[in-house]
Parts: sequence; C-alpha cells; structure tokens
Amino acid sequence: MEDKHKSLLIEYIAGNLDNEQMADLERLLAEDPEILREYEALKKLTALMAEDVELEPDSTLREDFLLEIERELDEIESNSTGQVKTIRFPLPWKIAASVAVIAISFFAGKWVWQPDEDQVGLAGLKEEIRLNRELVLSSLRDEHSASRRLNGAVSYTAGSPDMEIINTLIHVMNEDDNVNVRLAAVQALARFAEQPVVTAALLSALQVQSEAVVQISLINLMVDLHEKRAVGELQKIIDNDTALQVVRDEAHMAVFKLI
Amino acid sequence: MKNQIKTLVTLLLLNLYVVQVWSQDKFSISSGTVEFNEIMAISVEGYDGNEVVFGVDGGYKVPDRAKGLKPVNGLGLSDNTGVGLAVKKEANDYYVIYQVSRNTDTRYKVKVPKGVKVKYVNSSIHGKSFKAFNIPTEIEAKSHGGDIYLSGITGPLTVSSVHGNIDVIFNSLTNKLPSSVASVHGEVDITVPAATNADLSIHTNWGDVYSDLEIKVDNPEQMKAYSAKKIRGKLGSGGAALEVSSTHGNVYLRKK
Repeated sequence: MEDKHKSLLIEYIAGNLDNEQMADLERLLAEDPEILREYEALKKLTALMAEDVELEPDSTLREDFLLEIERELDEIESNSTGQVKTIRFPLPWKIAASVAVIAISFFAGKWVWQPDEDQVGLAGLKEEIRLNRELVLSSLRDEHSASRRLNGAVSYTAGSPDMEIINTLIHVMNEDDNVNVRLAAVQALARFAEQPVVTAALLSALQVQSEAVVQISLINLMVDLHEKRAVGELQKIIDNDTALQVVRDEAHMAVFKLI
Repeated sequence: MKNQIKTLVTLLLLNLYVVQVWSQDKFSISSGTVEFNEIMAISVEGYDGNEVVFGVDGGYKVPDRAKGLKPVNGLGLSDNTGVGLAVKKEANDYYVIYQVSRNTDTRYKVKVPKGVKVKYVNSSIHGKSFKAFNIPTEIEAKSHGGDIYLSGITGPLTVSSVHGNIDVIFNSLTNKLPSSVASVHGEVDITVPAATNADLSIHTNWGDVYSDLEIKVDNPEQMKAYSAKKIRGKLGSGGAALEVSSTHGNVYLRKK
C-alpha cells in the first residue's frame, strides 16, 4: 500500500480530512480490500493508544524534583568556587552501587544475626567428646567381643583424664579375659601416668597382674616412665619363686636400668 | 591260609571304618563362638557349612589297656568326640573344646563354619602351634610357648604369645574394629595387601622393625624413645588400628 494512502487513513481516523478527501477515501475503502484492512488495523491501533493512560507524576514529586535540581545547582556553584571537582557517575553505575549497598547490608545483617561460630563449634566439640566417652565406656564393657573392648581402649584419645574411664581401664587392665585388651588398657593409662590414682594402679598391677605379656609390658613402662618407686615392686617379682622366669628376668633388667 | 587273609582284611577294613567314624565327629553351630582350650597342636579352617567337624592328622592312639574307657581331664570332662577332645556347651552359641588326652603326635584338623568366631587359648610352654585358615570373622588367640599362624583372614584379631612366633597373612583388613598382635620373645610377621588402609602402631623394645610398606609416620620425634622403637603412622589413608609389638623379637611388616 502506498504511503500517501496510509497518511490519508491516519488523517481520516483523526477527522482532519475535508469532505472531498473523505469522499475519495471512502470510495477507495469500498473498492480496495487491502486499503480497507489497513484502515481497520490503524483504527484498532488508534483506539488502543487512546485507551493508554498517561501517568502523571505526583505534584509533590515534581516540587521535590525541582528543589533537588536547585540544591544540585547550588552545590555545583559552591564547589566550583572551592576548586573541588565533583565526579558525576552515570545512572547504571548508581544503580549498581545501590544494589551493592543492599547486598552488603543483607549479608552483614545475616552475619550479625547468625549464631556465634565459636559457640556452635564449642557445642559440637562437647557433643563429640560426649559421644566418644559413651563409645569408650560401652566398648570397654562389651562382654561379647574382645576387639570391641580393644576398640574402647584405643579410642580413648581425650587429653584430660575422665575418672570413670580411668577406673574402667584399671579394671580392664587387671581383669579382662583378653591379653591384647589388657595391653591396650595399659597403653591408654600410660598417657595419664602423672595422675596419682593411675600411678598407684600401675604399680599395684605389677603384683596382681596374672598375664605374663601384660606384666612384662608394665615392667617396661616403669622403665620408660623412669618410675623409681617401681623398684620395690620389681624386687618382689624377682624374689617370687612362683613368678614366670621370663617375667623375673625382665624385672631384673628393669631394676638395673632404674637404679 | 585263605581264611586268615580274609580275617585280616576284614579287621583292617573295620579299623579304617572305626577311625573314619571317630575322626569325623561333629556338632552343629552357625554363629557364636568356638573356643579351643589347651589343645597342643591344631589347625582350624573356615568353610561354608554349619557344623564343626573334627579330624586328626598324625593319628590318634589310646593304649591297649584303655580299650572300653575314655580319657578324662582335670575338669572332669571326658572325650565325647572319639579323638581325645571334649566339647562342652558353655552358653548359648558358645562351645569350648578341650583336649583331654595327651596324644603328643596328634594334630587336630577342625573345620568351622565361616560365621563362627574362633578363640584359642593355650597356657603351656610346650604348646606346639595354632593355625587358622580362611576365617572371615573375629579371632582371639593366646599361647605361651606355641607358634600362631593365621592365613586368609580379615580380622579383627587379638593375638598374643609369650615365647611363640606369630605369623599373620591378611586377605584384607577390616576397617570396622582394631586388631592387635603381640609377642614377648617371638617374632611377629604381618603381611597385608599393598592397598591396606590402617592406623599403624609398631613397638619393640629390643628388636628391629623391617618393612616394604610405605608408612606415613605421624610424629617422627616420638620414635626417640629410650631403648625402644615406637612407630606410629598410617598405611594408605588410615583406618582401623593395627597394633603390632614384640618386646624382644623383630617385627616384620610386609605387603602381599
């Protein structure tokens, strides 16, 4: 369709044609279906545009806007007298900056309001210690499996002594049915040898111990600890005719090293 | 003459039959523990059955005067297997087998279901040996003078001896529970697959440690112990504890 016909159609819809122009155009609309289709399309478009409400800003906003312009102009004027150069950022930069400020505020707020990491870590550590303690005690008392009792002894890795565990280990060292479990109990107790109750138990075990392998381990532990108080107990072993010769020999060697 | 030969053959066959019946005595168990107590020489093998089956290697003999009688031990237990062993049910799924006859040439061969735990205790300086093959469950073994040989096993183990050597060949090493092997005067020889993951502890007061495995030592300074060699470290990425010690003997740790 020619552009002049489109212009005429726009003017016709707007009511700006005179009678002659209107008569010519209406004849064309009657004769030419293409022009008629174009007319219908333009008419709908014009109606839609007429329905589109133009948003007017609030009057106060307008006043604020004008005041802001005045303030900006004053600032520019005062800054120019002070030889200070103001950097004016483009709008996208300002938006980006605003987003960044919001994001920082969000994460900062989250950080401030979240639980103290130290407190969470401490609670987790306490829970871990409690579970380890329960595991150690229940394993040491497992009557059905020597390897589970062994696991109890080797799992006790706490840095400070727990008297219930210490007493259980002393019992295990002297009474357990399995030599390897007793040995593991000796090793676990050795870490707390500076504790008077542990020292007394280790010294006492030299006499009450019935397993040669454990007795020999205890004798060598006394040497490792430089425990001179063991010399008397060791001498008793040496003098005991019913003790195994292999144990008495080990006691001899230990006394020689300790004195 | 012909009749004499017939009689002789018949007696021989009867004798073989009797030995066969006696040496195959058994009892049913599919879980729980079987403890071998004060047996001088025994070889135990795991198998896919549900009975403990007894056999002998080297013959089991009773004196002529003992015909019609049974050997009895200090606990008052008498032979109820026909091969000089007494089986006693101590608790539900817990059987103890005692040697009640001093047959020094007899080596017992016992088949044990694979789901059953095996325990061995021998407090005699004259104990000969305890061998165990293909036992995929927990093993406890304690000897005074006898050697201990374990092969085709997975652990967990608790094994000790005063004078005996201890050899352990792991098929694989369980990562669930620790194992401990200790001897005072014997040598301790452990073989593990090259890809084993374990938290390793080796200790010897007077012996040496030999190994072809890569041990990632935790704290090298802790090795400077007075008159002792202590090694703590990891095999692979670490795992269940494997504690190995010999007070006077050497420790050998080798890869399979």
